[in-house]
Amino acid sequence: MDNRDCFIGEEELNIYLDGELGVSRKEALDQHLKSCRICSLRYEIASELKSKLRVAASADRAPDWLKYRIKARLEEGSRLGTSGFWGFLMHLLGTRPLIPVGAAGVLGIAFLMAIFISPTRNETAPLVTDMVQEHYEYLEGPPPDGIMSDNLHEINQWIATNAGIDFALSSERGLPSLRGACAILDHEDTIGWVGFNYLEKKVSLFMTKGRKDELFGQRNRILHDFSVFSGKCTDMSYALWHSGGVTCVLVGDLPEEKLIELADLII
Amino acid sequence: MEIVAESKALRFEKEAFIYLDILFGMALRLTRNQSEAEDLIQETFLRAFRFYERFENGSNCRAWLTKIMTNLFINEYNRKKSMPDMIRLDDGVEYYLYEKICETDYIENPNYGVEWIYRNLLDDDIRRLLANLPDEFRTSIILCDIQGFSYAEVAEATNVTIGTVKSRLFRARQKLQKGLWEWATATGYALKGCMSG
Repeated sequence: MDNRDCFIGEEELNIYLDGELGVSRKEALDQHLKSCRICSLRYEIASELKSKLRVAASADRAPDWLKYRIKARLEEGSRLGTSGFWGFLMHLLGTRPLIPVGAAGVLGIAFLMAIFISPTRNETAPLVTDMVQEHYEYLEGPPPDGIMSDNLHEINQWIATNAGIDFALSSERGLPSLRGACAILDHEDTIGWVGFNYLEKKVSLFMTKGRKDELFGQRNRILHDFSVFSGKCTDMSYALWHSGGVTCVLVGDLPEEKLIELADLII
Repeated sequence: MEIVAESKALRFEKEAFIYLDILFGMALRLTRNQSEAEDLIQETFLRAFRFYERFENGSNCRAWLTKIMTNLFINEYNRKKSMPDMIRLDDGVEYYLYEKICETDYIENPNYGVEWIYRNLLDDDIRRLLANLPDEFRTSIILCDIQGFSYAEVAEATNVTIGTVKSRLFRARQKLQKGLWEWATATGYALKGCMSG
């Protein structure tokens, strides 16, 4: 053990260990390691450590319940035909259950409005257009009369009236009475809107797409009534929940936990 | 429509689920937390399923899933931290463990020292050493040493250059060797080894 200043650096030995060294250099090291006790021991130390790491991690097994849960979510998504963004949200119902709610989304609307109206609205485009485009095919049936208008002027008026915290929150039979709100995204000739409304304890989410001039000539349709989800998609966090016929969604570029804090405030 | 969707789920299950255990182990090592690992693995599979149409048949499904998981971990789980990991870029001593062993009575035959330390090193000890690494280093070690990825694949999965991968691995292994020696000293195996050597 007299030559401790061998010419092989540790970084190069690492690359050799990982099998990433060039052919000629590898051959040189092959030869050297056969004759140099110091380097062969240094190599053995690194190699054994790598091997120990692999062995230590090889015993890990996903719990059975986790496998079943993932499979169930995937199957559910397939069965419902919701494998896109919305399916993703639906799957998350089981993975990240939120607290049950008894009220609906004033701040959610504020968020939506802030996002669409603020200078950062373009960052929202992928989220909303994804939602709209991917799930357009699942729109079915006309909305019940009186829940949502399909008149542009009326909707704009409604937004102006009900934007953000300007929501009616009068207590009615012990439940908050929400009138609803709507957000509009005008992006490359595609317009989408997300809205919810509380009327007779029923809230539904509406989405559609199309050119602005065409969109409001059509009747908008119910997409789905849904439950509780939270997560992150296309760089935007969302928190979405449903309870007692009330649905609320928060979408924003804040961290997810911040959105959930806000959801807690609403609840 | 339903048939197509079912077929997609079956194909996905057949192709991706065989890697569930491997990826779960990786999630455990990345997050260092059972419940976060469960969340991470679920999000990974759900996201993969969502974008399954974009996965090219015949390409490496494990690498694809690993990239999704790594990106999720880097982009989302790390954001939850109030403070990022502080990586102290101290100049490590080359061949740390070797040098330390040679500073002991093992100098006449360091092979004994290496053998003695590794023989007594349990899986839990090595997991703890790994868990103590900063995220970037730990991710590189997990992908390269545990998952067996090439430098190019690690670079692709972690969105860094191959040079950065090499550097991270180098430093990570230095820190692991240092931790290993500290463990051997604390547990007395270094001392026992000296006496028996």
